[in-house]
Amino acid sequence: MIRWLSEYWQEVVARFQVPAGGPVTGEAASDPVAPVEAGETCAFPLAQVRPAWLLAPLRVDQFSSEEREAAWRVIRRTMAYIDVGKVVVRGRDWQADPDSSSQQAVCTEVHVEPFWIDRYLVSNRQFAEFVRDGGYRQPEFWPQQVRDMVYEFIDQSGRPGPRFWEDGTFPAELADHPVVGVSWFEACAYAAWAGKRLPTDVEWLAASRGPASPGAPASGSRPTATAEAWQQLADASAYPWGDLFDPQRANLWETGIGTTVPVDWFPGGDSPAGVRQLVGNVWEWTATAFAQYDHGADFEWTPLWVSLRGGAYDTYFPMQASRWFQSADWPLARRRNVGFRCVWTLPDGGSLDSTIGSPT
Amino acid sequence: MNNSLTAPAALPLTSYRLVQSASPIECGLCGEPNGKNAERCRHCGAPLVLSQQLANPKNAPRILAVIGPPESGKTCWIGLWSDIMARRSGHDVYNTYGAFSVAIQHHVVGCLSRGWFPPATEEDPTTWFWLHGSTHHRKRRLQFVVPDIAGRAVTAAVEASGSQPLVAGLLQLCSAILLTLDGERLAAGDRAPDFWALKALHYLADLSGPQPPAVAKPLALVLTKVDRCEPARDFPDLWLPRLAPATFEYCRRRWKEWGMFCISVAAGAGFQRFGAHVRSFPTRVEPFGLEQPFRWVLDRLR
Repeated sequence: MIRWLSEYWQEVVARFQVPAGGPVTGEAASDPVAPVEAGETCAFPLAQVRPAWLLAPLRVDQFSSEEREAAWRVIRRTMAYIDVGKVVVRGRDWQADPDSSSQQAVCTEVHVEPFWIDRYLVSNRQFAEFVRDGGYRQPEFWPQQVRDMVYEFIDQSGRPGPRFWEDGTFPAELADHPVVGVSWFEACAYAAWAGKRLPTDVEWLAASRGPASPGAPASGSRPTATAEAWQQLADASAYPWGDLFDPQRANLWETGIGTTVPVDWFPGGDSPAGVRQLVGNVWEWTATAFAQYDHGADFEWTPLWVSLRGGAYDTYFPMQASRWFQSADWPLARRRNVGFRCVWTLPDGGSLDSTIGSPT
Repeated sequence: MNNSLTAPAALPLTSYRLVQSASPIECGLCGEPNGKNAERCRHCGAPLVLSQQLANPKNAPRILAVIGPPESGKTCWIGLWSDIMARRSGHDVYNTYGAFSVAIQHHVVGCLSRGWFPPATEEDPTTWFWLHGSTHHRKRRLQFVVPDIAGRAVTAAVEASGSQPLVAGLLQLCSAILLTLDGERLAAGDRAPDFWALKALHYLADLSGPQPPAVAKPLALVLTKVDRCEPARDFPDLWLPRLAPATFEYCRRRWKEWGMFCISVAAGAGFQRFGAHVRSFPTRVEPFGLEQPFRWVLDRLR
C-alpha cells in the first residue's frame, strides 16, 4: 500500500509540478516562489521579505535608494500589475426559481483602480516570517474588535499560528504549500504586516480575467473589434484560461490529488496577467462581504460572511471554482482549504516612485 | 322504434383494469399484488424488478437501509456517493442497474449544482428513490439496494409500529443499517437526534426478535453535516460518544458489529427566505467521508 501511494504521488508530481528548467508559461513561471532568487545576495532582507511595506509612502524616505530598488525588483518578480478599467461582476439572483436549470445572473459593471496582486498564494514559509516577527503580538495589525480573540488563533500545540501548524511552525514538506487554517483576521493581519491588503472581490475578478477569446488575434491586429468588446469577451470567460474546465490546469476534486500542492504548481492555469492558482488548490479570502453584488438576497441569519473565491482541492463541481461562483465563510473560520493572496495599491495608481522603478 | 338505442351514453371503460389483476406479481417488500406490466408496486412504490430479484434466493441484492430523522442529510449523501462512485475508475468497480437507479444521482447533483439542497423526501413511498447497484472488489461482486427512505416515514413507523408496512418490511429484510445523526443539531446542544436514534435502534432490535443477546446486522452510526461541527470531523470515535451518549451506550450494549463515521456534503449552509418559506443552500460542495460508511458495511457483507 505504501509503495502504491509513493508511486501515485510521484505520478502526480510528474504531471502537475513546474518542470525543472523546462519550458514555462509567461513571466510568472520564471519567478521563484521564494522572495529571494537563487544566487541573489540578501543584502536587504527587509526589501526581500516586506517590499511593499518598505515602499509605503510614509516610510519610503527612511530607506536608501538601493534598498528601494531591491524592493521594486521583488515586487516586479512576485506580483502582477493589473490595470483593466472596468470589470463585470456576475451576482446571483436569489429570488429566481430554485428548480430552474437556467443560471440566473445579475451583471454589474464596476470600475477598478490599477493594483498589484501576488502571483502566488501566500505560502507557509512566507507566513512563518510574520509569525517569527511576532505578528500575532503586535496590536497594530489587528482590529480593535478582535484583539481579545487573537490568543485563540493558535496551532495544534497552543502557540500562535495557523491551526494546522505545530510548535509554531509548519511541517517541513509543506513549506511551499499555501498557508491554510487561518481566519480572515489572520489573513488581514499578515497583509497589513507585509504592507499590503486582501483583494476585493472585483480585484480578484480583474486578476482572473481570461483571454479575450481562445483564438483572439494578437494585440495590434484587431481592425474591427473595439477595446470594449474585447474586454467583454475576457470578462465572459469562466476560468483564467478560457471557458472549459481542464483538470490539468487546476487542483480540484476532479484532478484527483485530494490535498494542497505547492503554490507554484499548475503553470498551465496562469491567468494572462501571470497570476497562478486563482482557481483551485485553496479558496481565497477577499475583502468583500458575501452577496454584495447579488439580487434579492434575504438570509434568515446574517453571519457577516466574507466572500471566498477560486475553489479548492476538494471542490466537487468545477463550476463552483469558476470566476462566477462566490462562496463564503464566517471570518473566524480556520478551514483546511482556505488561504489567501495579497494586493498592493499605491496612492496614485502605481507610479509613486518617480526615480526608482515603475510598475509598467 | 326504440330511441334508447341511439341515445348517447357515457360509460366508464374499466374492464382494462382487470388485466392488471390477471396473473398478479406480488411485491417482495409489501406483499401486495400488482399487474404483470407494472414497473413499480402500486402500493409501496418499490420498483418491481427489485422485488423479483429480492425473491431470488441465489443472487438477491442486499438491502442497505439508510435511516435517520427528517432533513439529516440522507438523500444528499446517497445521491452524491452514487455520483462519486459512478465517476470513479480503478479500484472498486461500481455499476448501477436500471434507469431508476440514476434518478437519485441526477436529482441530488442537479440541486447541488444549482446551489440548493434537495428538498426533504416525502413520506409517500411512491416518490422515493431506489438505487440498485453492485461493487466489484477483490474479485467479489456484491449487489445492493439502497432505498431513500423518508425520515418522516421511519419516524411514523417507530412511533406506531404497523403504521408503515413498507418501512417495517425494508428494515426486516435489510442486511445492514446506516443510521444518520445530524451533527449540526447535536453540536448546538440539541439532543433530539440522539433520542431519535435511540428509539429507532430499539425498534430495529424489536424487529430482530425478542431480546436476542446481540443484534447481528452491521450498524454504521454516521454523524452528518460535520462541516458544521468541524472538531468532530477526524475523530468520530471521540466525538460521537460525547454528542450522542445514549445512542452510543445502547449500541455498545446491544450491537454486535458497529462503527462510527463522520461525513459532510457541503462546507457550510445558509438560509434564504422566499416569502414565508426558508430554503437552505450550501455555500459550496466539498464531500467528505461519503464512501467510508458504505465501504465498511459492504466489507462486512462480502
